[in-house]
Parts: sequence; C-alpha cells; structure tokens
Amino acid sequence: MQFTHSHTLSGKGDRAEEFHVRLAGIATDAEHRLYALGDREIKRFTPDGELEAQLPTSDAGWSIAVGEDSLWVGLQGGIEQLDFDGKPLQRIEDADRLGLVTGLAVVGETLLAADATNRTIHLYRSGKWVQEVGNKVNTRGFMIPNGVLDLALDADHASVVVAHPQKHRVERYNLKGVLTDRFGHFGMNDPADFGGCCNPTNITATAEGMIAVSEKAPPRVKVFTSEGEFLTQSPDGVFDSNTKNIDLAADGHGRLYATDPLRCAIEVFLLQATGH
Amino acid sequence: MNDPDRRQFLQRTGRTTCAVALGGTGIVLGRRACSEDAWAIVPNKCVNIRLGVTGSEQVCDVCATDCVLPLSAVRAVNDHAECGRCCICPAYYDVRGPMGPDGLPAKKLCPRDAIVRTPIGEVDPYDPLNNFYEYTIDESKCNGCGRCVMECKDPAGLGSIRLEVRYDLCVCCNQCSIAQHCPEEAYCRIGPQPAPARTLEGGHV
Ligand code: SF4
Ligand code: SF4
Ligand code: SF4
Repeated sequence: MQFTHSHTLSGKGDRAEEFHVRLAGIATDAEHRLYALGDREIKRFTPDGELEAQLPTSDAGWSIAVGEDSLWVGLQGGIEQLDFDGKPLQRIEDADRLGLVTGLAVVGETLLAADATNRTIHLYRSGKWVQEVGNKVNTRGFMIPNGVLDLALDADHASVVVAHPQKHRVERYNLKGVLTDRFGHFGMNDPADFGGCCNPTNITATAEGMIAVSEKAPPRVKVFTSEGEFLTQSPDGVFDSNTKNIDLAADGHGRLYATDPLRCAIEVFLLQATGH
Repeated sequence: MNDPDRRQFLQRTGRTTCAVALGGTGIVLGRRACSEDAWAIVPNKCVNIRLGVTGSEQVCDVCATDCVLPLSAVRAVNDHAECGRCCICPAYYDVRGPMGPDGLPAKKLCPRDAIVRTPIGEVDPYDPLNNFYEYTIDESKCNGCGRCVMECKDPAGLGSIRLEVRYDLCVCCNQCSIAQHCPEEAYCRIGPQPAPARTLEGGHV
C-alpha cells in the first residue's frame, strides 16, 4: 500500500477557498466532491480541488456528513440538514440531550451523532432520537481528553467505527448499538499501536473497507484493514507539529483528505495498492 | 552576555518585561526592588510551560538545581479542573520506556516519584480502561525539575501541570539564584504582595 502526499487545499486567509478562523470538518459525496465545514459555511470542492460552492450554515458547525440527497451539520445542541444548494431542510433541536456534535454519520434514515460534551453517541431515525450507542460497554462514557469524539460509517454501511482516544483503540458498533469488534492498544514504538495520552482522535473508512485514523503529537494518519491490521502511515512533515484533531474523509478514487486545523488546510493524500 | 552584564540587564528591563508578560498580576512599575519582593514564573516564557518545545528530554531543570533551598521553592502543580485524568498519563508514566505485563508503561517519568496516581471511583473489572485517574503532586518530594510539565503540554497533554513558585517556601532572595540562571528570563520579580498560593488539592466528585 502506497500512501503519498499529493497537494494542499484551502488554508487560512481571505481568498474564497480559504477559512478565516476555523476549519472544523470534512466529508465527501458520491460524486467524489469534498465538503469542508469551517467559519460559518461549507465550501464544496470538485474532485480536482476547484472551489465550486460556498453554502452558509446557520451557526458555527463542528462536524459534517453527506447523505444521499442532503448535507448534515453537527452544531452545539442540534443538527442541521441542508440540501446541496445550502437550503435548510430541517433542524433537529435536542439541546437537553445533545452537546457539541463533533462527529456525524448518516445512512438512509439513520443518523449517528457523536456528542463530545456528554461523551456518547446518539442514534436518530427519521429525526427522532432512538438510543445511545456504546454506553453499555463504556460505563463512564467515551473518554476523550482531546475534546472531540469522531465516528464513521464503515464501507458495508452496517456498522459504525469510533475512535476512542483514551482507550487507544478503534471500536465497531452495529446499528443496534452493540459493540462487535475493537482493535488497537497503547504503544509508542510500533506504528500499529496508538501513543500518547489519547490517540487516535479521528476516523474515516474508505470505499475499499480500509479504516484511516488520525493521531496528534506527532500528527499523522494511519491506515488499517477493516479487521485492524496496520497497513501504512502518512509521510512525516505534512502537518503543523502542534495540530490536533485532524478530521478525515475518503473518496472513491483513492484520495484521503486530512485537515490541519491549526493551518485551516486540507492535505490531500493518495492511497494506492502496490503490486503483490 | 556575561553574568554581571546579564544581571544588570535583568534589573533594568526585568520589571517591564514581566509586567507585560504577567499582565493583571498587580505589578507596581517604577518601584525599587526590595528583599521582600516575590518571584514568579512567566508561563509563556518558561520553556517547560510554553508551547512549542515538547518532550522531557528537552527539559530545563534550572529551577530544580539553582534554588538556594535544598529542595527548590518551585514545585509542579496539577490543575485538576484542566487534567484529562487519562489512564496512561505521559507525565506520570515514562511512555517511551518498556511496557509492563499489564499493558501499561513499566516505568514512571518522575525521577523523585512525586506524582500520585489514584483511580477515581471503582475500577471497572470488565474493562479497567473505563476508569479515570487523578494525578496529584506530592509537594514534599517534587523539586520542580519540570519533566512532567514538559510531557503534559498541548498537543500531547492538556497542559494541566505547570511550575509555580511556592510563596510559602520561597525566602525572597534579593537576587534570586534561579532568576540569574534562567535561560529564558522567565523567572521574574513581581510586586511586594505575594500572590496567594493556589490550592489545587481536592478530588473529583
Ligand atoms: S497528561 Fe496532563 S492532562 Fe493528561 S492526564 Fe496527565 S496530567 Fe492530566
Ligand atoms: S516537576 Fe519533576 S520532581 Fe516534580 S513532579 Fe514533575 S517530574 Fe516529579
Ligand atoms: S529556569 Fe526559567 S526556563 Fe528553566 S524551568 Fe525555571 S522558569 Fe522555566
């Protein structure tokens, strides 16, 4: 597996493709377009990296997911649904239950929201809260000293993978909220392990079923098989060394996108299978 | 700059720089330094506290080695409200060292064994990783060497541990020995009224 850095998108600044203050999250759609959520808008980039649209959000968003026909944005105490032109469709207001939504995944009518304030995952169907995910095994909630809880739908769309930083592992839950698998443990020397006080911080799944996670101190991206076998990691020196909570998104063309929140930049990597 | 020159320079500029850096700590400008003056560490100057340099191997231990007291008046404090209470705290464990059979690092980081790790609540027998831990500095052992501060620094840690001058211990030397040797001019004279020492004891509910 070859993992190379291709180029950088966006950044901090005044140009239309740049963010002034913050870059919160990224996601891709079925057309391989990239959505970057930051400041108070979503910027859409073509697969070639051209800025295509700027869609305002009603509030400062913290996470983004792309459904079949709409966009979802995680907010403080709520989740907003927009069409692809940025027109608001609905808003789930659940401030009594929802804190800061730092991770989102959507499949059909099912929406999973990672709540960093309450350190849990909420499952909604058709806009209605159904249950929490992971609370039975994580008796004291997800442990996230890094302040962000992130999840992703796996390629089979039947399970959700969660980065659990303080436990130094990746956990997989089915859509009934049952823990079905987990991998990873603490270690500073083997790249297959997760180091520091709390890694991995963010997660995504590729169309081929691989799982990519990000780490801080040092900032990097690691790629595993769906079963947790370590495959490769990003080259050194791409990110600001102090950056953390690197959000990830993959498209169906072997591109892996990773944010550098400190620089408001999006690093574009290529993941290519090498010959046997 | 040689030592006498440096001292004069510090005397001339020290109060102004510290006033700017410490802002809001009640510094009286234009007043002559006196032996009752208190000293403080400016967090954004001290190499162990400020962002940028990380890793205990890069530590500055002048606060530990240069105080006139046998055990330095500088001690580490952990602000429990800021601490992530991690199971594997890189300020407590030597995370780069070998692993023990329990999956935790086998060695501690603190050379004086001055950090106490206590589980908060009952440990979950099915998954010990379901636990938070409280890290408290045993001030009777700590000499302010700064290693733990270097490891608990953003982005690796949450920056909850820092070095502070304990005013109850400091003898307010007219020319603080640490200040003379601090490579970052981070050890500064502040006003005549010592700021009250912060009490950071106490656990989590
Ligand atoms: S690294 Fe710092 S914030 Fe994390 S558990 Fe240790 S003392 Fe607390
Ligand atoms: S400053 Fe040094 S002696 Fe004090 S607790 Fe930290 S590592 Fe131990
Ligand atoms: S001597 Fe200066 S730089 Fe070194 S630990 Fe003390 S205050 Fe920090």
